[in-house]
Amino acid sequence: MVTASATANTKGSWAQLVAATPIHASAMVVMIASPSAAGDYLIDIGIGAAQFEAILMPNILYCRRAADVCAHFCLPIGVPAGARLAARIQSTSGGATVAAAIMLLSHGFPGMAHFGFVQDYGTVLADSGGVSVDPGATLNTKNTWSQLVAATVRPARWLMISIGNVGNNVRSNANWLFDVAIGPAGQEHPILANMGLNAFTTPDLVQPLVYGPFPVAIPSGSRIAAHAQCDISDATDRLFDIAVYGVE
Amino acid sequence: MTWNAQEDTAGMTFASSQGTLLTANASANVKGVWAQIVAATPVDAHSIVVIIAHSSGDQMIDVAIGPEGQEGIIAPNLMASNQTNQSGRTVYYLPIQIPKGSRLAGRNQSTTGGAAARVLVMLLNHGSGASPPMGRITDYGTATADSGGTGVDPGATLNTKNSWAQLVASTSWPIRALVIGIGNQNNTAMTTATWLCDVGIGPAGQEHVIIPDILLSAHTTGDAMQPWTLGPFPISIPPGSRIAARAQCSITTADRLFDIALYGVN
Repeated sequence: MVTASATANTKGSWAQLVAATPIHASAMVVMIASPSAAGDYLIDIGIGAAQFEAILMPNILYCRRAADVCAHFCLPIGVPAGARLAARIQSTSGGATVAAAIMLLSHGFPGMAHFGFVQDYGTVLADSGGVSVDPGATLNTKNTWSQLVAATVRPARWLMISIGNVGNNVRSNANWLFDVAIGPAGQEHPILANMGLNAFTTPDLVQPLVYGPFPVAIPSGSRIAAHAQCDISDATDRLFDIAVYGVE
Repeated sequence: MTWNAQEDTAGMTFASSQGTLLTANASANVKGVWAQIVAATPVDAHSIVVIIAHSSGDQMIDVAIGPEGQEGIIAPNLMASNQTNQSGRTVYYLPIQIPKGSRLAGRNQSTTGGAAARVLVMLLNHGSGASPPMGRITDYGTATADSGGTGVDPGATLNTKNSWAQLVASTSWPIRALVIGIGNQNNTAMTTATWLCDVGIGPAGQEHVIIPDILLSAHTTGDAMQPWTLGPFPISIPPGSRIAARAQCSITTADRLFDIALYGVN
């Protein structure tokens, strides 16, 4: 169990997940569930000795509402055997907890290089969320682009996408199609197109929480943006958050 | 480095921001008719992502390639478990190659006759790094008789791994990537619980865990096991292998039961 700071949107203390990883890993699956409070969460996975943790995976966006959601975030990042792994979280709900576990994969796809750096784009620490995407008031029509980052700081070979609930606790039924693109404003080129999302009144959550990771080749200095269309026009419930994670 | 951005998605119904409608046969657990997802895929795909939106009933979807009336199944019996109270998306990442210009179709069966699913297929031509694309998916542990998978019982002892449930006695092909589907046995009134699930290979009594302690959860509000899919896990399983699964659970009521199915890619 990992507990957020009692202060909303503030990272809590590190909690050790494992003192020494038993194998060399070429990829990790971060498995998150929350038996606790509804909220938006940002989760850091760190590596290193206690009090000297270095962030390996920053600000993984996770949400839960009326129902617990167990989400798996897979990132092809190498971790040496013997490493100490820890996690810390922040939430819109102060003191909220998540159950966190990590699967270490040593298999690797043949010929695939190992990667070592994860960079988050579009995460918003102030509300434990991501960049808001507004499909607009016109039904089922792609709206303007929302910028996640003006210029990526590193090249990305893999891209994972996390979806957030914009702090919304009461959702309408809705369906979305959204695109992720690269390129300057006005010249966005979709690289991942028409991924489906939906919300339902019972769990009050936009799902799925995660897409990818997708193999990509995005150079450093790239602008990344997202846009969407939706089958409802309610000014609150049509909104969702997005954050992306580039792996180099 | 290039932008390498020739990705596309098939099956959109833009008028409702959804995918292609696949209607199950009116008879429970019987495949419905094929519905075209796309007449000609616009890119050469090295892998696909099948995105399934559905709610009522356990559902099981085939994705096929080929002209109308001559569909050949490339992704068989993709399990999409009952989400009456969750209504999420079941997303399968399948590293299988599809040539540009292919016609894609889908069909559906369900424990609820006439149930609807909406399907999108993302076509990725980026590839998994330098990994070679693969061409065959074989399902193991699926149960078409109830549109589900193989039942796993964590047993009546709390938080203790129970005996193994066999998914297949002998795999028919080598496996290079393994995808896992999870189902809730058409249970629409689940108890809040968490599971740790192992997948193992080897003869009965000598199972060797290859994917350990997969965290799963269910909640009384959403009444669904999650996540619904895992993988693909890069793996090397020779043909003729026995595959089994087992689990431990935080509850001991009948709601501890779940289904599992595997999709081997080579």
